[in-house]
Amino acid sequence: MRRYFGRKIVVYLSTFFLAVTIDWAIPRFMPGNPILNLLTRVAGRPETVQHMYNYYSRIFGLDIPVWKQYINFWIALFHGDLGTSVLMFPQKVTAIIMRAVPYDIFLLVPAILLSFYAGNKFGAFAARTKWLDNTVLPLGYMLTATPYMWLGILLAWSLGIVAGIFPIAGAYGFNLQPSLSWVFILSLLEHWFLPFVSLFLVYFGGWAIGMRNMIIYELEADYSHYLEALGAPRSLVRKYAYRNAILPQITGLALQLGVVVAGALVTEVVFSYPGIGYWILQAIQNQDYFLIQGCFLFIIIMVLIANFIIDIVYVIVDPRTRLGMVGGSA
Amino acid sequence: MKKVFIWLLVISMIVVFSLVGCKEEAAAEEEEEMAEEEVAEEEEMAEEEAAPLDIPLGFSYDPAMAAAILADAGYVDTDGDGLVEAPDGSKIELTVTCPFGWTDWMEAISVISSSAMESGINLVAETPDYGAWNTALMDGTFNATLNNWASLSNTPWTLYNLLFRHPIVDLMQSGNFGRYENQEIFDLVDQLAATQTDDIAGMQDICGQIQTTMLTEMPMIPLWYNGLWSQWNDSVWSNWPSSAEDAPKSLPTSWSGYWQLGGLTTLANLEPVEGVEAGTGTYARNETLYMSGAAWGAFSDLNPFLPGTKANSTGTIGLLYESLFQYDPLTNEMTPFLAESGEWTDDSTYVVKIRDGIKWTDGQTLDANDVKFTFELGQTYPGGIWYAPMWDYLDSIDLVDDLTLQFNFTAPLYQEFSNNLYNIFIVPEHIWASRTEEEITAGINENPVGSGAYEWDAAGVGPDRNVWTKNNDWWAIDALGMDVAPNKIVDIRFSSNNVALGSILKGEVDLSNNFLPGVAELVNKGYVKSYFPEAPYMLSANTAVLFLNTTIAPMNDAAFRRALAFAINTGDIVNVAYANLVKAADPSGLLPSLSTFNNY
Amino acid sequence: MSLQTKNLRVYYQTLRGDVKALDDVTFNIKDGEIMGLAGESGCGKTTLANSIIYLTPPMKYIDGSVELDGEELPIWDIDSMNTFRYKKVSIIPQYAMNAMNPTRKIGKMTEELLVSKKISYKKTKAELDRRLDLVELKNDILGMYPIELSGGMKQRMVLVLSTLLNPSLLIADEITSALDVSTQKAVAEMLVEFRNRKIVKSMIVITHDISILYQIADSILVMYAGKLAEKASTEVIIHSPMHPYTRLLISSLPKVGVKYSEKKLTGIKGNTPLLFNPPVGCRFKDRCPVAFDKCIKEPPFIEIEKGHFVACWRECERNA
Repeated sequence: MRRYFGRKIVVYLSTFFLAVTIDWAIPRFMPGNPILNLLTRVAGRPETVQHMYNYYSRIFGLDIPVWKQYINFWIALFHGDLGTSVLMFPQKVTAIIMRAVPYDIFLLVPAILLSFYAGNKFGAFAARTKWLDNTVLPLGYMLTATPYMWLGILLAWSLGIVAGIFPIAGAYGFNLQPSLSWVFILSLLEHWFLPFVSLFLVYFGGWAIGMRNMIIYELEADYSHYLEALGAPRSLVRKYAYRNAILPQITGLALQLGVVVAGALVTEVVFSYPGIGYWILQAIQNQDYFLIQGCFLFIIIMVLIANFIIDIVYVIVDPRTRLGMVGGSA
Repeated sequence: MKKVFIWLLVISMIVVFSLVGCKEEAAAEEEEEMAEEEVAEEEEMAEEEAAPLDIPLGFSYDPAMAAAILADAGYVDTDGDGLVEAPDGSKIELTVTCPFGWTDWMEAISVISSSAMESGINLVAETPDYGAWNTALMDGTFNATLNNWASLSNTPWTLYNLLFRHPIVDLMQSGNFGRYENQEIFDLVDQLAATQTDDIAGMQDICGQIQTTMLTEMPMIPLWYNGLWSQWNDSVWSNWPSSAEDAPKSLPTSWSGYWQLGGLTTLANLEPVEGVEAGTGTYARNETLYMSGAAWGAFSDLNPFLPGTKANSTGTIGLLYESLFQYDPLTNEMTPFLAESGEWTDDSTYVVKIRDGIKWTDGQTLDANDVKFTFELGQTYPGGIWYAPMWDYLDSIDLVDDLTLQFNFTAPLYQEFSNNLYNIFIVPEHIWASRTEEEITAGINENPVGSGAYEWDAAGVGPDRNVWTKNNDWWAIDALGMDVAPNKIVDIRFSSNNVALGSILKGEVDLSNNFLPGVAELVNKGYVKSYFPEAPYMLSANTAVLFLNTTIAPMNDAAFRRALAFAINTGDIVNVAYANLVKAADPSGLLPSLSTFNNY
Repeated sequence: MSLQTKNLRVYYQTLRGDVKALDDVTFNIKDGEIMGLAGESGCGKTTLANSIIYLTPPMKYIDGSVELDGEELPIWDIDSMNTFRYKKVSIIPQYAMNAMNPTRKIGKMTEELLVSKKISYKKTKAELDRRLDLVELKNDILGMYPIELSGGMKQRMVLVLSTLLNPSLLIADEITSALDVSTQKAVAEMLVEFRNRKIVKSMIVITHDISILYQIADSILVMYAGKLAEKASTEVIIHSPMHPYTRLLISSLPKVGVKYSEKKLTGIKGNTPLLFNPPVGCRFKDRCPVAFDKCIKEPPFIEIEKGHFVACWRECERNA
């Protein structure tokens, strides 16, 4: 057991190191120059702009050799410093991320978990109900294949603008200040609803399809047939099949939860929801090295953590992994 | 996410390598061109003498003329592919660019490309990433690209200073991106800069010379006036400025750097619509103005000295901090603001009197010391303050008394200085004097103390909004009889134009300064209002100019550039790309407010 | 008479038509009898087993009856068969290695199975422990997952599980084929032991390995292409089979004491017929060394000696 996790931790650490290095390198290989973007439209004369260019390069630590930048990056990282955003200069990257992440969690965690629960239940139900399998499941395929942008705009347009039931932008009313009042909480939920529903629908379709296929496979498995041959009631057979079919779904869930911090980029753009997805887009478009790095670093860490948790969960829920563990350390 | 990583890596590798490659090629070509150019010019002269072509100075879309100029200069289609080859027989392959995602410009360059192609000029539209585009623009590694960075100004110099920025250096960051070298025109622009702003005849004369050279040489092509995008819903606030006879006249805009150009006046003219209820929100609906289109991102700082446009907290300049003067582009007049008066007492001395009784929001008095301090920051921190170059010709600032300053110049650039009078924002010395260079040039400036009509509302700020609260003790209420109507301003950042459009239709937002394609239709139907009830609907804000990289063949040839100017179907850009939301630009490039200086 | 099958007909429904997998099957099993069921792959052995306990699509009941201890089994009705399954008829399936839910502890699974059949686990636990003891399994096996067991252990566990409710009839389908020889023998002996202890009354042991049947079966039923070929006591089938197919089957077995360098092992020439459209008359006639013109008609499965049933015109004639 200890050797198993020891080995895992080494793997995780080296993955982290590699991913972070790539994360550091990519924005620097991207075309463009963040300082130029910062200085865009400074109506200076050519010779003074050079001064400002040097000045801000120094402030961002971009005036030193690349290998030194790399070392400084790691040093800063261990101090929890992800640098200063160029786009949002002079805000700190960590501050920007910390402000955005709560919205992502608030929006995505319920969307993912509820769709996981409902989608799996529904998929399992559809697998044994012929008419559902023939009607709703194609709908699920359609939902997952729908360009999300289109679905989002359709929802915003129909329920937001035409019906006027839900607000279409922001995380809470533009006429409110955050406070612990019912008005504010209600507004928060109202604004949350449409992006939530759009995400829920799309995720739901995915889970349902996955579960439907998995459970059909499990119901055809030998252990199911044995139980049936011994006259076990269908409920027991289905319960077993469901439990086993959900295992691969859990892996998918973990990965999705891991990228929660990445936000649902398109959702956040369509509904003007102030999560981190919006910042990733902005940061890439504006060559904001530090913000890009920061956002992706968060994603890397979350994905690794999620994977690690899943490794542990799997050991608990699926005895087959445990045997692999024994075999692995033998 | 894995996919994104790989994608980014691959793309970035490709682009990096291709950029490196391009640079080397360009350098090699340049040398060749230098040698060839002289020969070409001689040949050109000989031909022109033989059959002088009558080309009008002000260009317009005229494919026949474009063809004639091309043929005259030796650009003919030798291989029959419908595209001309250079006089030396080499193929012409050029690109016209704009950043990806700037949809209106993307359509515009596709019109530019297709109309050039029709005239036989091989010009292909490309849309690189913003960062790549920006770098190519400043490095001079593009072929042809759009740019519109000259701001609304009281002087024609502002535009020509951008178009003919000199000297040419490695990094052309703020103008003359096509690296057009012409000492004659550089001298004229310098001469214009040093002309008094009230010397209209002198300015006209110099502008005429600049325009004549510009339109003969065609180093860049002014194409259309970008609109001052603004549309509003008058269900909560009325008395918006418009072209209607009885309506007030000012810029209906919330853009950063436009409050002092009439935005404040618009706020002062607004009247609440009767019968609107306060509602249950924190901010009473009937006292709050909701606007969008100014903020490009979430709140980042309140520092008026940071580079960039301050677009993330649009009120920092104009609502919070104020300038000495205001400039009204509709009347082309400058009016004293923080200043009570300002005048040139002789050729190199400018005296400003500050209004008496202006208070900072912390109760301290705003006086000449604050103005002196603010202007002198440019002298103290030449690396980080954008107006530092003024100190090349500004010798010193003397305090005459608490409210009077005297600027002592050596060889003043009157036009630049007059721009600065309404673009430098005065900060309180008693707060800023103790700050370090980094705090001043790169600080957030939390809890700001300003003098303006609104105060920063720290409690209201959200990731997608800034909130401003009216300063009831604002000096201008008494001094100018100017009182801004909204008690609160909520400045919203929408992440997509669809949302902005939906919000203005629903009346959740009163004023939108976003570019909303197709808004003309909504104005026609009366859902929203704009400055003009018909095309072009919007006021003009700046000139979109097609910069041509004059360092590469064949765009180092004036005849070729001129032919291109006649080949571009500006009408289609206006009608098709913008659906009549813009106007075609005057060939001089000057905005309608400066049409007095069109003199070619 | 423990089990009585009369004219049982079960087809497989496929897109290409019905496969006549069991055609007119009639036989009896006595109380305490272990009947071996032998034949080539695809002859209908497993279909017969499934028909008796778990007849599901694409299998389709056509005709015939199955009686167990004088009671008719509603084999055509999946749901009402549930009353008989496990308690009266039970099975050790071909896939016994994978028969237990891999993600459930064995004891837990057993408990859930019993509870679902409305049987108290607590009351059964003592018997369960005894049975485990009988098959030489420690009872801490109940706290383990199937994957932690060896093949033989799983086989024995399924044996215990399947017989826990003392069924009248146990069908053991190819239970030894995946095991090594010594384990095979042990499992086979346990089957006999279970019968001797009257845990199960009678058994059908399906295998293509006749040598196993020789060790444990009282009688052997030989099937060919969905039909019964011959049934007799094990001794008779092994030493004096009558049906030409049985004879070929027996002669293809290696014999103790014979050196195969001298005598070549022979297989049966030809292939089993496809059962979409089985040959008219005797289904074996195309491969039969002694076929004659009468074989064009279907031979009856008749008792030519006491307890010896054969379906072959040659044998009918000889006895006539």
